[in-house]
Amino acid sequence: MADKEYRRLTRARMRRKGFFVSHATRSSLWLGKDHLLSIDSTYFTEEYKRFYFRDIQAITIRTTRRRATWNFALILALLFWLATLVYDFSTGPPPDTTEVVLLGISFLIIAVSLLVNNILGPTSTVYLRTAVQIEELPSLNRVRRAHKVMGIIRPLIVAAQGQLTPEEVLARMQEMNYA
Amino acid sequence: MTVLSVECPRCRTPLVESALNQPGLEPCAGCQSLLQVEVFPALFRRTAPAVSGEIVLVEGEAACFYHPARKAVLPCHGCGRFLCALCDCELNGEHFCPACLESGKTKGKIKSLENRRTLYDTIALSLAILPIVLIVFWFLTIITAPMALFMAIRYWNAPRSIVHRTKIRYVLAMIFATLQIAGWGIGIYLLVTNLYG
Repeated sequence: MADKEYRRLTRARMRRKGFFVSHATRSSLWLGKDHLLSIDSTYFTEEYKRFYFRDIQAITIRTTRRRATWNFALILALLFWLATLVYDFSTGPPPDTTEVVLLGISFLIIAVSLLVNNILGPTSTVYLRTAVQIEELPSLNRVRRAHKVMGIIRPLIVAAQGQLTPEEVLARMQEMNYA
Repeated sequence: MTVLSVECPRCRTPLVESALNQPGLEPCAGCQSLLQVEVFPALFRRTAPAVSGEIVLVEGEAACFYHPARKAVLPCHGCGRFLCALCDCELNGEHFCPACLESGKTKGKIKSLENRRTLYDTIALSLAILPIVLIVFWFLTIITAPMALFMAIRYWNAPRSIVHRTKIRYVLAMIFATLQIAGWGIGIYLLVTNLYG
């Protein structure tokens, strides 16, 4: 069987446009022979951006507060669910089977979301810098996932460009800025 | 002189050099966001000055197809025309003239230049399935089923997603569309036979 040209690095995730999440555009990351391919899928079209390993200048991982925000919202939902439960059992006739099933399903949805949100770890936003652009990679929205992908692409970038130690970075920055 | 710096993506504060290429997350001095910045040698690469192409000095010397006064340095990989340093566009080790590059992009001949594709297989499958999934619009299948079948046949050989994707969507679209068309045919036949006999 012929080798596939691209290997999937991340599944498609929603691209944020400012404060809002754009549900229409989903972004995924693929690994090519000599480049990273970012695919933005919008319903029936795909847009491609290629980042060649030789051109990548920097990759920045920034932690965000998205996990805490989701935790807050989900805990609020859980409290609301608890209040409904207490109200249902303390007033009027005991709830029927349908009501119990609905309450059970809603509890499962909230609890599983809360659990998954915390199991996946801290949230992040990753930026990739080249000589002409700084591009956000929305599919790397968790620190752990970003580290995993970095572990895959770092050797490839190093093979294309070479490696810099923190001391070398310091020396080169000073050399360029104070020359 | 332009100062080379890596900035915090949130507050745009230039990061101190000692915060770069560290193994863990470091707080930004401006907004205290936790950052991990990895820089590579490309950051320090100096941009080569633009070349304009040498002027032809000797009569009969190979000249650029687009600039007859400039000396040709190599042929175009696409059309074979002689190009000067100004017209030479290098792409993955191959050299193209601006015209070949443009046509390669618009006609999709140079795959690495392609930056957009329409997913006809997804359109065909959506036409075949969506009216059924959205139950209240089932009657639209009388239009959408033939459309889905047409799309699947018309674009069978059209490029699909750039990442590996099989023709399964086309096959499913054709199966669902054929079933829907057959259903409509049987329904109309039964209606007519019930009405007239």
